[in-house]
Amino acid sequence: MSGWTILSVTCGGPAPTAIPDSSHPLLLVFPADETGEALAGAVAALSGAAVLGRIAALRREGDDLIVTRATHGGRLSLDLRVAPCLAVATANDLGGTDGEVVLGQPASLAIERSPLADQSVSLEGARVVIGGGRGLDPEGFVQLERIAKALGGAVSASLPAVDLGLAPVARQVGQSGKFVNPAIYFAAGMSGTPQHFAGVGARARIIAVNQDREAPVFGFAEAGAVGDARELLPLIADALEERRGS
Amino acid sequence: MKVAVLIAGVQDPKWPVTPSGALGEEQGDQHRIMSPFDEAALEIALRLRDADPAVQIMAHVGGGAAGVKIARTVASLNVSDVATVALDRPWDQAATARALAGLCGDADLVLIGREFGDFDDGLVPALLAGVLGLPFFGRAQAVETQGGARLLRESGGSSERLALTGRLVASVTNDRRTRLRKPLMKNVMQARQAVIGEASAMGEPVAALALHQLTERASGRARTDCTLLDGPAESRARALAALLWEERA
Repeated sequence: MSGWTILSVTCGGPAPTAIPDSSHPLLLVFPADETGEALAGAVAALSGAAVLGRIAALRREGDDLIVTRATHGGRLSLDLRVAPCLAVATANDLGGTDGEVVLGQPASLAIERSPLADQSVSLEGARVVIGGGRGLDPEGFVQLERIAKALGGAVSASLPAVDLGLAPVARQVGQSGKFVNPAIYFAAGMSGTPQHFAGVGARARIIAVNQDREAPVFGFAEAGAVGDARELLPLIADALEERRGS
Repeated sequence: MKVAVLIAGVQDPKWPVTPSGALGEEQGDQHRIMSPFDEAALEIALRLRDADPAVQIMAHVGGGAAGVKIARTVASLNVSDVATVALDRPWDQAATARALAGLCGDADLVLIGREFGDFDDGLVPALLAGVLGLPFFGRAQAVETQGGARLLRESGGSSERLALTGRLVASVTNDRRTRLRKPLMKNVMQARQAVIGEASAMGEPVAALALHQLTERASGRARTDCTLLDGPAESRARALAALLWEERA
């Protein structure tokens, strides 16, 4: 029977503090965000722990753990076998842990901070997320902001859209960006790659606009429209502002 | 200042990838490219050298022999100190970080993409900093060089700046301000003739960890019977707005 204890870590900061007793097999699961990754790496370096990456699933098999994570931008799936040891991982929404532990302290780097001009709704915890891809132009993102404002939601972007300078990297969602878990994800001008939707929680209901009827996003959207975003987005924003004003 | 740039390389996402191909990276470099994170890390190093010609850049490219094509691209940007390195267990992030640590020498600044290649999801850079015993600045987006060099990032509603005054490991994410420049054609031609060395790096493997299997990944999202709205643009837009409005609460 497996003797593993699996603890979910709450981060106090990115610098390591005391590591829990690891005389028994122990897996520490950190949040898959900037602070969680920094702290997980620091803890692993200090302790010599096995590093499992951003795990999506785990199961016990005898004395071992089998953990699964995505690789190659979400195109392949990797299973690792972990013999009893101290191990660290990150995860977005892994349930079924045995408890929680607080680790970490603020780092000592002398960082100058100033508030960003963009103080719109944060992606983390947003109930509605309005996403744009490289099928949009700068004006398309202006319209997404209008839609998000009318709905009290947050704007996100795919990696190619960020690369094109259409949105800041802080708005990037996907395998290589933030993970969001809204009730509704509105996807405009994005084809629906696994890399992007790896960053959108499974509970999110997808509504899509794309000018290509064959775009993969329509394979998992609940509703959508085929059409030119330049035409549709301003009309959607107008209709929502009308509803909000009434 | 000595700057070490660690470039992982990835399989070009435009081409299909199979589990056997993913593990056999030594088979060829035809479809290996720099990731957006690799490119941004390299561009920041080049910007630092633009501002101060005394900056020395040393680059290592993962993938062993399959990294030669990328190494020639790096060389074409006037980085003569470039070598490939084979990493035996790319799926073992701890072994990868320990191997990379052995390549950094006395670099003042280590720049590495936010994810080190196809098998990493962001833990290798932080782990590398821990192994080297250096401070870590994650997800840098740009560099300022006027009046001293500073790395920039946006985090939690703030713009953050870190002056480069001590040794540091920084991971770099994609940003429009750090898109990789194009090399001059004459430098591309010279780089084709350059001798690319191969560095050796041994990262002690974690004994408790073994590759169980690598498989093609089924979409994590259930297929749906999508309701496609039709009619004139205005009616489609109103119907979509109604859906979004109803579901927002």
